[in-house]
Amino acid sequence: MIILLVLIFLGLFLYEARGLVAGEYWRELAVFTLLMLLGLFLSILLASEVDLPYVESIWLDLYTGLREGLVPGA
Amino acid sequence: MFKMFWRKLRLAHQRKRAPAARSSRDLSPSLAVNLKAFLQELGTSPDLIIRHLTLGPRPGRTGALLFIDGLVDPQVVNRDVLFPLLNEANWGKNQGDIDLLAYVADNLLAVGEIERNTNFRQTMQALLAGNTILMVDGQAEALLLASKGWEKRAIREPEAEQIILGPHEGFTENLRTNTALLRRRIATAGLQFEEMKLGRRTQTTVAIAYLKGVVNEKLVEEVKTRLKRINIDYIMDANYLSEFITDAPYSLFPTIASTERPDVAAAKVLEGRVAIFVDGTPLVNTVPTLFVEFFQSPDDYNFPYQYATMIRWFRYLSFTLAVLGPAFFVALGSYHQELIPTPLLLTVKAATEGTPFPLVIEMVVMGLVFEILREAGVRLARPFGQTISIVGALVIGEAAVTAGLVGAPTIIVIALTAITTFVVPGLLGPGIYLRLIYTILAGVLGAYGILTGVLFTLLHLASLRSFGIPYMAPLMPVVPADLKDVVVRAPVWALWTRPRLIGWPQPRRQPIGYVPDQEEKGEEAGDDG
Amino acid sequence: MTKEQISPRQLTFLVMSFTIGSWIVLPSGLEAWQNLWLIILLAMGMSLVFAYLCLFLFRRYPGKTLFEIHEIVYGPVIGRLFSLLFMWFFLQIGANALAVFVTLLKTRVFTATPDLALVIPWVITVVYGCRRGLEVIARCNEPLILATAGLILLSVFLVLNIMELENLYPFFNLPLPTVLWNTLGISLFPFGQNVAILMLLPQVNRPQKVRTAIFWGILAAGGLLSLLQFLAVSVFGKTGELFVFPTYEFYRMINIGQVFTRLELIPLLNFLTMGFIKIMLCLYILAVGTAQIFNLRVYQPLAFPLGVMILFVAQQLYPSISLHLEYIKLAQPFFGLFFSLFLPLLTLGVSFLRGSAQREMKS
Repeated sequence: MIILLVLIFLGLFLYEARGLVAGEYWRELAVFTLLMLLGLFLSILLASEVDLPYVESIWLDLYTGLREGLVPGA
Repeated sequence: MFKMFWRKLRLAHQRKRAPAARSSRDLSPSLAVNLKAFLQELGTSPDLIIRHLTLGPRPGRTGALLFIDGLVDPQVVNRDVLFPLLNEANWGKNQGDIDLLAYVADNLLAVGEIERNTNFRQTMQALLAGNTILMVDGQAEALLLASKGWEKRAIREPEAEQIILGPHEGFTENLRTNTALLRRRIATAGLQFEEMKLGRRTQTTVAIAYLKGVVNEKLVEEVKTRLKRINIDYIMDANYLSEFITDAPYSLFPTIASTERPDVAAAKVLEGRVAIFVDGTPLVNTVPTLFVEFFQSPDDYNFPYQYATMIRWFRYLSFTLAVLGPAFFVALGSYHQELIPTPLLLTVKAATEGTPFPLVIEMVVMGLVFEILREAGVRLARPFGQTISIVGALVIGEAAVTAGLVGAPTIIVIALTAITTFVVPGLLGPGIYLRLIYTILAGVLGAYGILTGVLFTLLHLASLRSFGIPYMAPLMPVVPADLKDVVVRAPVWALWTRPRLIGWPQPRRQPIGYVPDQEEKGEEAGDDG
Repeated sequence: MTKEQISPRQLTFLVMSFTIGSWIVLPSGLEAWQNLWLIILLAMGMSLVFAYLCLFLFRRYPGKTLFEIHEIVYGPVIGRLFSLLFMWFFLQIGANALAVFVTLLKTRVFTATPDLALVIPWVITVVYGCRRGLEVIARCNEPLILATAGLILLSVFLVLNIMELENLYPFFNLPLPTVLWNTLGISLFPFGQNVAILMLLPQVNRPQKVRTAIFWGILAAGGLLSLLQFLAVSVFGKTGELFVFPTYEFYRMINIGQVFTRLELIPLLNFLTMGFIKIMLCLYILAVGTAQIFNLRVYQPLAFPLGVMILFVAQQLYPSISLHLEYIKLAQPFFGLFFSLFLPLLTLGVSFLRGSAQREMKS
């Protein structure tokens, strides 16, 4: 599964990078590479089913924490 | 990327210029040298006729008449060229050294179109295009006499675009006949033709026609640039051009329409489009092309508008059914059975009981079988067509159901699809592809798969352009004024304006707001008339 | 980057789709269920005020996107930080819509299909649309929003035989704080997200019509949502608040002469298209925004990795729908308030303090 993901990302990266290199879009290439690596990392995390915190749980915890900090006993 | 593009362009340009350098060779004053050159180029083809004759007042000079047998009208050559040349009395009181060719052209020949040329290559081209060449010894010049006349097909009704009412003439393979058919329908000075030769070896004449004042001048320029960019050795048909000049070379959808009907071509030119004629084919391309044009038929305008609106909606419905029908059947049958009303579900279930394959495989395979039968029916000689349909309908359809290989509902859906596909012939190819893709998507993800596929298609369609005009106009983007000829077919008196994105240089067709049973009001149309 | 142009009408339609987006299947403020349709109208009025305030920014810096305004007002470093904050906001809007629709599909229609099989085709389509550009999204949106609006209007006739006006009573038997809180919540959740549209405004071909276009968009979206909730309440009565996806359940109830039954799939597909458009817009804004933050000339290559990020965040948004409902009820209004109102107003305030906008734009 992870190998498949890497292959997909690599394929798309090469496809895009060819055009970017031909047009000498170096800055674009850098940002694109960075985002692709980030995307690859995230999708590997998703594929390997690591237990990650949920986004809305974080916000909710933050909310409860703030409320208890500001209005004690509420 | 752009750099690469430019380099390619420049290369193409240079390659195109190369033969031009060779063509600057001039004719020689010696007739013998010229004839030898012609024979060298053309070989000893039996259809090249060289008639030697003696011209001018006695003692006369040797001359030669060259023409290609079969391309010229023998009547013209014999009666209007040879006869006056051989009649001695015609030379009058002239003495020896006159400009013989000029005298002949001005006084003797009964031919409408005569050109004097000193260039060898151009003379050769004229000869190959069906002109008769007259040369005399001592003059480095040739007379090109228009004598074209070859066997042509008569004007007949086009087989591929049938209509019930309205004009039944169709374009033929002869360019001049076709341009004449168009001009006979648009008798205004605004109608203009421009010609160019394309195809390095075929030297095919390509003509574009447009209505000055109505057409967008930039569009004409764009069409011409795109045509000039073509560098190909031969052109056989209009499709050779449209694949070269299309905006979306990889798309499934045709962004250039073609027609065999002069009335359709005339209507499109009158709306501000450019028509592209190609010699040797009855198909005429019209650009820019909108998606909705494929749903329009000349019959829409020949029938009363109420009926025309209805059949147009049948066409939309048929296309939707042809593209989505099998997919929806598969989605309902394998994912959303609860949505089928219970009695119907029971019937369908009973009919598909015990079939060995999943619904989607049945549908795809039977769909392919049908496409193969159709192709066989088209290509075969007509008497065999009957056999094909019997084998197809009875043997494969009926037997497959009786043997329990395929469910009867599948056959019904395929049959329905088969009929509806032909309602919009212009979109046959994309329709088959889309149907196959949607069916497979429906088999994988049910209605959600279909939705994703349809959205993808919509996005693709919305991104297409045909010569700068959004392909899906007036639906995406919505152009309210143009919906009058898409959502309904408004009565002819209410088709006040031309399609806004195409005919905007002269938007009005007729007085806006005119209604037949009321007294005439509204301003005069600002048209060129 | 080539500036693609959209017309004011297309902007109106985009605002409508963006507002209707995911909220149409998972309405918030269900505690005010029976009066939800009135609260939507109130919230719409309130959001018009917010929109007016945010549009001040656009009037002050015509032809600039929100991110460019940040850089002008706060300088390149802090401005980019603010822009990054907004990037997260847009990412979460898109992920939220994706997650809600996938939850709906997963729990109601495709119970046996794995999540990823639903999400991946979605992301592929959205990335494709994003790469094609704003013009294509806007054009594609036109028939889709018209179909949705048409369907909602048509529903009025479809439910005539099962709706009962008594179900609407009692009127406003709610405590005032509940009413106000939910009004605020709704004005921020579907309506307030329109702050994202500030990223698109410079691409409208007639800037003087932008304000009217947005106002009409918000009005039309509010009207449609309100109408739909009105119908749902009049069919279900008090029991409606028990459903997680009331609009979906509402279309299940339609039954005309035993022939037209179980129609829920059609509206579901229809509302899904709104979700597609919303996520596509979010992705487009994210990609263009990234390109602006890093001064890039093309944004198309960024669509795919950003799409993967939306997918990731959507998968990691909430473990269960009940947590999501709790989040919507408690934390979402603050979250929305911060991004939809506080930050734009802060930017506006700082820009006023720093003096003439025109002078800064020239420098």
